[in-house]
Amino acid sequence: MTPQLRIPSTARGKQITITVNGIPVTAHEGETVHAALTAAGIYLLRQTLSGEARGAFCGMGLCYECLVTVNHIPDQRACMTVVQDGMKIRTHG
Amino acid sequence: MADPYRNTYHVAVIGAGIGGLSAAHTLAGHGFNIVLIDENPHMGGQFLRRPFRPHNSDTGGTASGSRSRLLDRIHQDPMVPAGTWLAEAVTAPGAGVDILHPAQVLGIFPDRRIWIMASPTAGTAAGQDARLMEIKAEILVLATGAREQYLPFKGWTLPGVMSLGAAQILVKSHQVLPGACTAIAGTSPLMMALANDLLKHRGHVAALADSHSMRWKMGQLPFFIRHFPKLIQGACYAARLFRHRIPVLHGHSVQEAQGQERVSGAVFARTGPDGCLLPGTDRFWKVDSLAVGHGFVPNIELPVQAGCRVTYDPALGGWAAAVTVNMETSVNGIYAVGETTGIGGAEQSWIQGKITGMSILEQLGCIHPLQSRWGRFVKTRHQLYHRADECRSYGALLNRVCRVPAAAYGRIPDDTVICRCENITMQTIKQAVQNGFTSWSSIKKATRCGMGRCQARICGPIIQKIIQALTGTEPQIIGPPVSRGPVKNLPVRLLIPSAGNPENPPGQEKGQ
Repeated sequence: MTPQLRIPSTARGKQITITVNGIPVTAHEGETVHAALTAAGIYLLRQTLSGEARGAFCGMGLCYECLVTVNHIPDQRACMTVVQDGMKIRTHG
Repeated sequence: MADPYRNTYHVAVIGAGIGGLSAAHTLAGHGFNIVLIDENPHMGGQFLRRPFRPHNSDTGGTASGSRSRLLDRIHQDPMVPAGTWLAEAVTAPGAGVDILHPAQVLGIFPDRRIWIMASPTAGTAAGQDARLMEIKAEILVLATGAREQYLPFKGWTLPGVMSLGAAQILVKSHQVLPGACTAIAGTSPLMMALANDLLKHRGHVAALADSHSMRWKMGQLPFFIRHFPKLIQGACYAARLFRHRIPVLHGHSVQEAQGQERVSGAVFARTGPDGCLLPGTDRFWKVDSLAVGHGFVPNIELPVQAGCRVTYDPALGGWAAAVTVNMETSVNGIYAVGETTGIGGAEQSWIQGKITGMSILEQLGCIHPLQSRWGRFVKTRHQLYHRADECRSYGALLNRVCRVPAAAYGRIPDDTVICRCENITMQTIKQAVQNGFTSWSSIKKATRCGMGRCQARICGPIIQKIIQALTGTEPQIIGPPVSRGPVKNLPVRLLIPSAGNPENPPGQEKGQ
C-alpha cells in the first residue's frame, strides 16, 4: 500500500477521478498530473530507448523527463499539465 | 475563429514571475496594451508557489499548531506577501493587463514578433486543441527566470530523484509530499528551505547532506552580515532541523542513488577539499525520494534565440543576458529583467521590474506617477539602482555559496549519465574532450549531448564545467549554449496545417 503523501487538513480543489493506465486514481482540481501521480505513488513515468526507468526531475517544464500520454496525445509534460475530470493518462510512453 | 487575444501589443512581458509581474504592474494603467505570457499552469513563477485555493473553500490552516505558525510568520520572506499582492494586482480584472497562460513562447523573430503555442481549454500549452499564434509587440520584456543546476552522480536518473525545486513545488503548490522518506543533498540554500517545508507538513526527512564543510560555511558567515534578514531566516531553518533531530551531514555529497525502477536508498560520502569523495566514508540511508540541487543558472534560451548579447560571470550564476542600467539588452526594444540578467533573488526581480517599467514608459513617451512630482523621480530611480546593486551583491554571495568545487566535475565516475535525454555517459564526454572537442558546439556534434528534448537545459552547465575541469578552457571559449527557435518542443501537427489544425495555420495569420 502506498503511504499517504497528501498532506492532511489542507483546503484543496474538488475531488475528481483520473485514470492512469486504466486504473482510477483520485486527484484534486488545480493539481498538476505530476502531483496527482506522486500522491498515488506513481514515480515511473517513462522508459528510455534502452529501457531505463525515468520519472519527473525538474518539476518546472524544462527537462522533459516526465512525458506521459494525456487523453491519447503523447509526450505531454506531467509537471505542466493540470488534471481534469476523467483525464486518461498512460505512463511508460 | 474569433481570437480571444489581440495580435499587436505595446508591451509583451514573457514570464509571470516576480520580475515579469513587477514590470507589468509598473506599466499598467497608462493606456498601453500589455500582455503577460507564462507557460506555467499557475502564475507567480518559481518563487511564488502558492497553494491552489478553490473559490468555494476557506483558507485551511497548516497541520502544525498556532505557535509554529507564528514562527513561520516571523521568518517568512517579506517578498512572499509582497509578491502575492503583486500577482493579485496584476491579474485583477481592471488592471489592464491581458494574461496569456499557460502559453509557450517558441521564439522571438525580427520586428519583435513572438510565436506562441497555447491551448484555450486544456490545462497545458501543448494540449488537445493547441494552436500557434503570433503576437507583435513594440517592446518586449524577457523575464524567463532561472533553473537549477546539478552535479551528476550514479543513479540520478532514477524515478524519485528530483530537483529541490520539483520537491518544493509538490509541497508548496500541491501539498503533496515528494515521498514518505526524503533525503536532501547539494549545495543550495533551497535545501534548508525544502527541509523546513517538509518538516512543517509532517514529512519525514532522512538526512540533509551539504557538500560544503562546516568550516567553509562558517568562513562565509561574515559576508552575510550585510544581508542580515537572510541570516535570520537561515537560523530559523537550522533551528527547526535541530528540533526535529534531522542528521545534517556537512561536507558530504551523494555518491550514489540506489534502486531498480525507483530510488530505494541513497549513499552519502564525505567530500574532500577538491571535491573528490573520500573512500570508506560512505553512509547509507533508506529513502524513497531524493531531492538534489547545486545552485541556479539563468534561463537564457530566449534572449540567445532573440539575438541578445550574453555574458559569462560566475557571480551571475553563469551565462546571463547583458543589460544596461535601464535593463535594456543589446537588441533594440528588448528588455530583460530578473534572474535572466543574473541570479539575485526575488527582491532583485521586483526592483529590476520597476526600473524596466519606468524606462519603457519613458521610451513610450509616458510619465510614471513618481516622475510627475518634480525631483522625486530622480531620487526614486537612484534608490532603485542602489537597491538593485545591493540585491546583486547578495546574488553574487548566493552563487558563491552554491558553487561546487570545479574539480568535482572532472571526477564524475565514467558510467554516470551526463546528458539525460540522449543517455550520454561521462566516459563518452571525457573521450570527446580528450579528442579535442572542447567547445560547446563541437562536443555537441561529436557526442549528441544537449541535442535531446531538454536542449541542454539540464546538461549544458554540467558539460561546460566538465570541459573546464578537464582542460582548463575558459567558459568564454567554450561558448554559451546555442539556442534557436523553436526554443521548446512543439508537436509537428501544429506546423502542418493539413494535419488537423485548419483554424490557425502559422504564417497565414494577419496582423491586426
